[in-house]
Amino acid sequence: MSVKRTAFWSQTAAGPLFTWLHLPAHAAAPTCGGKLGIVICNPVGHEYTHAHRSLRHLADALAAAGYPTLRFDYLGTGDSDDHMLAPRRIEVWLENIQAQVDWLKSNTAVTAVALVGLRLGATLAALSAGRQTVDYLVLWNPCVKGKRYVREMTSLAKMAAAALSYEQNFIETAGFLLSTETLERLKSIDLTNDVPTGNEKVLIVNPDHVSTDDSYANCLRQQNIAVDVVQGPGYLDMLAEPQDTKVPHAAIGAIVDWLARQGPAGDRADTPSTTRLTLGDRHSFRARAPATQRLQAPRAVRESLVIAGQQRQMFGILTQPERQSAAPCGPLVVLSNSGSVHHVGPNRLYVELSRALAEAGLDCFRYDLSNLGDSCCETSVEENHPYPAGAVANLATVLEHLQTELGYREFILAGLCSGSHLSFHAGLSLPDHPIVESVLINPLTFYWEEGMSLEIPSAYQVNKDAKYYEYAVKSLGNWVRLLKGKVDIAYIVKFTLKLFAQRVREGGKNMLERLAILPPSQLGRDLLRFKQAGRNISFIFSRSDPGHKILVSEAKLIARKMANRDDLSLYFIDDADHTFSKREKRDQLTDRLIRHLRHYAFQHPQPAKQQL
Amino acid sequence: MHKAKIREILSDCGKLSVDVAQLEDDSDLYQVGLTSLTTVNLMLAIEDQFDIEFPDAVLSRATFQSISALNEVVEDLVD
Repeated sequence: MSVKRTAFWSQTAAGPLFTWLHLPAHAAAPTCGGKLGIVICNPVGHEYTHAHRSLRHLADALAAAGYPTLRFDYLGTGDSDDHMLAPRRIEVWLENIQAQVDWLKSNTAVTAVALVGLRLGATLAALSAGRQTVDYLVLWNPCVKGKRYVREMTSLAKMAAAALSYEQNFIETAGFLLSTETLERLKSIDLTNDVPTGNEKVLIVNPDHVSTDDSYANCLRQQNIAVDVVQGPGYLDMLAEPQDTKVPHAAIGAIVDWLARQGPAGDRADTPSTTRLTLGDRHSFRARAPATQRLQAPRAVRESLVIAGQQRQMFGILTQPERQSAAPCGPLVVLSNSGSVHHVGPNRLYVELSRALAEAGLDCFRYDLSNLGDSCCETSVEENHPYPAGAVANLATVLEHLQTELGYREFILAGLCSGSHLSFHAGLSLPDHPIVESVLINPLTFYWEEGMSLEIPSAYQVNKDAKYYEYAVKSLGNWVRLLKGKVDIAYIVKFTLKLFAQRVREGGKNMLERLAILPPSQLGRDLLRFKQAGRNISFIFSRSDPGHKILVSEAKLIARKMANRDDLSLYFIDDADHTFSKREKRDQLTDRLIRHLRHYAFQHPQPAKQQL
Repeated sequence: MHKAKIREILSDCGKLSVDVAQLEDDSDLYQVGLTSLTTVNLMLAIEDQFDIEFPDAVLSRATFQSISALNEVVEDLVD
């Protein structure tokens, strides 16, 4: 049994929504398929990013069971237009759900609809059921009390922030913004006071890691609403860091089975074995570039959906400046996945970056490798692996499509973390592709091998720890803990010796290289290969990230020489973390990239680089 | 002393890179994989288990740094 996924922009009164329609592949037209259709209601913020993989699996499983299923991004989230600080978020998201239900009923043969929501998505689904006719509700760990959700988000913001600014009108939780208006609206939500009034049947899927609170289920039962409650195993693994997620197949199976028991089943088939990607009629729209400190009133840009590859297995989105001709103009910036995060990027960075670059005159393409995000199919090899063996071949396929089908003649490869690793290796191993530059943002390793940790390489953990101690030594509280004997002094002594040994080792290696006793390192030789190929290489590092230390440790002399001759560019963003989870830092990164790359579009002089 | 219960909750919600049984009471939980995301899960689970609410003043990494530190705060709030 195959599944067909069709990507399109669903036009609503509030703006275009990025949408996937999952259908059984034997349904020749969207009007085929079952009588029951599903709208999946995403969670918001970091939970949206982390759950993306599992909800894609859920949508495929539902389609395989015969149910036409819509999966979409609310306005201001994911690939959809707009941003999180725009007003009326909750009301707009409820309107978005309603619009998708209407779309499903108008464009397919479905006569009944189920909303399947996760976390805040489940809350929105329940609220939405009070406003329109919905036949079934599947609520996966709903946030019953908005106040508790807000407390959770503000706690997270406090845990993550070095210092919270109370002057700003929003909080940042794990890289996502919630305005004070949205927080106040969320606080007012209490599902026990807002029970659906129709004839819905409800399934509540509780997580398995905490004790179950039955108050909401009991409240629904008191209103004579039919409620089933199940435990959904694997909840925490589903919402783990993207590279660590595990798909909760048992919970997904329980949801599909429950819907099947309710009656109007579709053309049920087996579990999905192949997946086909297609584009809907509406595959281009005018997006708004993000407002930043630099851009208070940004111009519109155009976003178009693209499926690349002979097997049509690679999905991406092309962002272009609004111009009269759609013909390419200048090199195309190609953003490769950061870790296992889908093409939206960590903290929605790639969406904001693409739109800002386009606003500045540079075409940009963000896509998913064939084992990640929206490209990933049941037959994908190494699903969710951030450093898949076929990554360079995947990228080559994408570049060839962009060259032959869309007419681009030059490419700038860029990416964060594993995306920078791929940009580096593609720059080295694709000599026949017209690559003019690789931009590496916070690489954690230059040579990833199977078995290596996906975290900061242990050899460089000592540098990160050194940064921590630099910070810790300034804290009065830590000195008090030391005097009270609550600090492990043996550990600190051991750490200091380790740091000293590493510095001596690095100094010795550099000296031997300088005296030509030692040959250049692999990294040094590879940097020189960029120069020999006439390709630029640039680095952008968060100041405290280990990438710069790795570069200095392995190729200080060659990198410095290349930087002095303008063959290598190097920039730092102070006080930024690995994924730029603070909005201010994302703005700085965007601004830096635009200033570095805009000479390609307008022949501006390159900005001053920083010293190694 | 609530350390045993805290260890149990930590094992369920902490997603640490080591077995909780191997940790000392003073071991740095952030060094063994506790993140800001898992800290919040841990906080909520402890609140549910002990029927307490962490006040804003104690919502910092120091509170969740070790089993001992957590135990101190929980003891204060339970009393």
